Amino acid sequence: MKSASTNKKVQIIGFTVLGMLVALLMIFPVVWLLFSSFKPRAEMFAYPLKLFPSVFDFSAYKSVVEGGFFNYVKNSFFLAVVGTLITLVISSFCGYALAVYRYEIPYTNKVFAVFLLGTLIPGDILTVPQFSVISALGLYNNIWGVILPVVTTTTGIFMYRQHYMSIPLSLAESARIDGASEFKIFKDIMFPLGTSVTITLTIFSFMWRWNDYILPLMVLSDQKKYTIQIAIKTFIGTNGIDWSSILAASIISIIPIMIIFAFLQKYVVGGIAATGVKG
Amino acid sequence: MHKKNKGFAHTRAFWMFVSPALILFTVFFLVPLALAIGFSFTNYDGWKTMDFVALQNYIKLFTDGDFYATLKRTFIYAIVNLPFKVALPLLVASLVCSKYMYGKTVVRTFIYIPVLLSALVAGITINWMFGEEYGLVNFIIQSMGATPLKWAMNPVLATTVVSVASNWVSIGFYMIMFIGGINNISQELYEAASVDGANKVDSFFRITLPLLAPTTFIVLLLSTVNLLKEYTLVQGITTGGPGTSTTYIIQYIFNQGFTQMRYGYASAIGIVVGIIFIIIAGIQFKFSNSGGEV
Amino acid sequence: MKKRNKAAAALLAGSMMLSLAACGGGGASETTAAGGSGGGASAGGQTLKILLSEEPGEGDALTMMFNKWAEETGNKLDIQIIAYDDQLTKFPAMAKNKDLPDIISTTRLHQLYPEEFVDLRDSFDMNAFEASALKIVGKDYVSDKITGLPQQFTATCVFYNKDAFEAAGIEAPTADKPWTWDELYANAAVLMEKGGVKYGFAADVSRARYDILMYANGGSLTLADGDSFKVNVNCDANVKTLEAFVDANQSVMPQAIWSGATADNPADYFKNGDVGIYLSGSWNYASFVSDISAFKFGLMPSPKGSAGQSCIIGGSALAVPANAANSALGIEFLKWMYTEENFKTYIQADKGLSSLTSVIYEPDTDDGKADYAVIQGEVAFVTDTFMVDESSAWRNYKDNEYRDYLKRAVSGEMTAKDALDAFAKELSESSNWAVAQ
Repeated sequence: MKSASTNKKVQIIGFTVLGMLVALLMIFPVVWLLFSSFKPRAEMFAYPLKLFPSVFDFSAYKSVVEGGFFNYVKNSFFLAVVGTLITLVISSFCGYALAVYRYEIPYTNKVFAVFLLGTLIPGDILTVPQFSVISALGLYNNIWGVILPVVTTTTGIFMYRQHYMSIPLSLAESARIDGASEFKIFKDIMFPLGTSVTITLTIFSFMWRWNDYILPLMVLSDQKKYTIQIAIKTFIGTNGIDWSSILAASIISIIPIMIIFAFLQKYVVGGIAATGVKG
Repeated sequence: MHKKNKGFAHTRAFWMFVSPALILFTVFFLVPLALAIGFSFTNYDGWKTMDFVALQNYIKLFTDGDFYATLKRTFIYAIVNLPFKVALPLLVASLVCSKYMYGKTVVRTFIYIPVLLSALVAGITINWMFGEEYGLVNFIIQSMGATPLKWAMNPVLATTVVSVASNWVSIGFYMIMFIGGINNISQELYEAASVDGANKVDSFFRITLPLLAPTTFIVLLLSTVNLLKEYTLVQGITTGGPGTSTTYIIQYIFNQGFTQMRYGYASAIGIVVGIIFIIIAGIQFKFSNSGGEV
Repeated sequence: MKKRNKAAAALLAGSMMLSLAACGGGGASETTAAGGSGGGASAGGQTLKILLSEEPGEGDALTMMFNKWAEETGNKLDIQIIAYDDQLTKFPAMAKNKDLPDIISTTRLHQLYPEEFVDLRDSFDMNAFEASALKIVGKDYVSDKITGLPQQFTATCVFYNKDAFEAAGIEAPTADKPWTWDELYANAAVLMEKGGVKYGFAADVSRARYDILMYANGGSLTLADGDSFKVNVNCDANVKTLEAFVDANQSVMPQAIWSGATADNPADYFKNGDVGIYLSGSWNYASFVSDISAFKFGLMPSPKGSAGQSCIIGGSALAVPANAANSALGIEFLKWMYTEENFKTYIQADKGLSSLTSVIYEPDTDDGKADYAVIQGEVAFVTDTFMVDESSAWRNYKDNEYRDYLKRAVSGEMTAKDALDAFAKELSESSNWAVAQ
């Protein structure tokens, strides 16, 4: 009895210490980044290396914030929230259908393969034709021209598909016998079982939209509608890079998504384990 | 009769579920893709010129020795890194899902933060660590009296730095996918196994790994494609050098096509590369029993 | 977004600035009312739509002028910033949607798409401009059309670390007695030995640096051939130049830079005192003045090659899109900007070379005067071969490939001869010019 509890304590200490070490290893370069963002410009690449700045210089942060950065944050936030909501709805529908009907409908895998093209074709070559389509639809300088083209994500559909493949079809089958409609089965039974994917995809999608760059750049013409990433890129000049401003702006820009992550990651549970249905 | 009705209802339901995504995907991806395929047979410059040049772009591509060299380099890079891309997040996820670990929120958040950095900022950060001139690692090596390493000039070391960076910014991403998968595995299975006398390692190989197959497959496929597409991160670290030793296929598309506004040619390369990626993904599907079905 | 610059602008216009990019204190920030942000009801009352390529630093000279103009005329500004690299994607996108700005500060759009811009010969006296600036920065490559007025005019120049020179006992060359490139390399080695620097010599990764070596040795990328051109990039002189450059990289230069193996900026090496002699551009001058305090630096005339000294000029221009909503207002601004008085104000803040013959920058310190004299002197070394190469517009066919082949030679992946031969072949295929050799 006693040895079992000691054994448990040793395990707890061992795992926790190991976890902390991994975390420190991963975060250390970012800590360096954080301190560098307070360095005066001339010190940023100075040698010998110093982790701490000689004086904490907030001027880069100040000028970034006063340059209207919060307006860009607001725009990015809108883009991220709306884009993520649409992504969740269409990906869960699609991924679910691709998994749950896979035995009945012979071409589900072919439909899935079409969506896979979304990640297999190098997207860079599509920027120009994509822009032509957006212009032709009259979505130039329109926020929807930035949102609609990117909400279909192969990764999201893929994640839902894989998840629902691991859920026994018998669950849907028994609901059908009770006379539930296909949509109701999805809404009331299956969607809640996909919570872990929904949370994960929320985290990812928010980050993707937050970091979107090329499409907002091409589609939005009004500086007032610009997003954070466009603003950050304007610190890259013809004759060099304004690293102080870039670092300050980047640090500010990752804080919101970091908080969202810290909050949401606890909820990446669910599915079968949460409902107690056996696999 | 009843059976047939049900079949129809399900087909209809299937298309209802799929159509929102499919419509958007068609308009904003498949149509542009069709246009790009069209461009690949022209000398389109993105704006003013567009003359039909038949197969010229493709002929030019297939007779370019650098294309094959770059492709080969890209494959080697992807194959060497793939095991790390899958195994490291899996191990980290198992660790941060362990009931014996405390401080999960902090640890997970710290591991995830590198994912949030833009390629530009991730690049400069890695340079602070592995820079040949002013990097921290060389600084430490030097202060211990040893000879600093040629992180930039040695092709193998340069590739190593790019690989470390690539894993650094992706571990958190795939970790979250694995956490979802692991949390979906019923605890009862582990309890039952433990009653049968299985230790942690046994459980990992006999329960966790098989039941995670669908998640592992998605991580495997996505990281394969992302390794093959490695570009922006490399730009911030080695810019593709020394010489061309870290120039991968997407950079080749940019160098050959976009920087000179040769969209037609860039499209042709992109399509050939896309077809190669499709073949690779197809092979992965075949070997995983249509996508990690369990 | 831009208003904060108004305070700085007003301040600078008065006091003739000390440093362009003060990094220390909080700086200009109050969203000022000085420019009458509530205004616009005055005589002008129009809005000038401007496209810039980067977020202007504190006290940016051009932004200052825009603000001054807006104040004087009662017009408003609508400034949009698109990063340099992205302008190539964004500009066609704007043009396709008839959403063009009234004025653009650009290094190349007006030369890539001359037909999209107003020919400024109709509105300005071209004799007022430095001929070379106009030719390189303002002119369309093919026709005689002037599609942009040179605004920032820059030249290559050679910086050196005075402290390192003193420690090594090396006397810096003077305008009357410039070094040869061989002397520069030899002295670079001495600097590494005795001057306390890690590298004797460094150069930016840009063909616009390397090529001054090539021109100095009498080489060129192309040769004029009647109305057309021939590819000359792999001539014997060029192979020798590249071979010498590869050797220099292995002995006195930070080899990683020119092997394309790092994203490091050699300017940082110089600022840290790790480089003795640094080949870069005149636009670096202002930031060096403000950032370098640990040692003294100076400028030296460019070294002589077998054919003499050489210099490459470049810069950015102000251009007016022909299809802009209010291109007349864009021209109105230019008319105001290029008056002697206003351009003088501009150049004093910019501290750069002037593109107007009647205006020059007057430094306020002795060191500044000496340095400026060196930069100005360099412009005289622009070679005819460079002018021919520019007029061929070879960069429209190939640009990065050239630099990348140079990198492959420096990294040791290819020999100098193979690299230049391979590039000559590529350039010849895309341009349909024959290879001279």
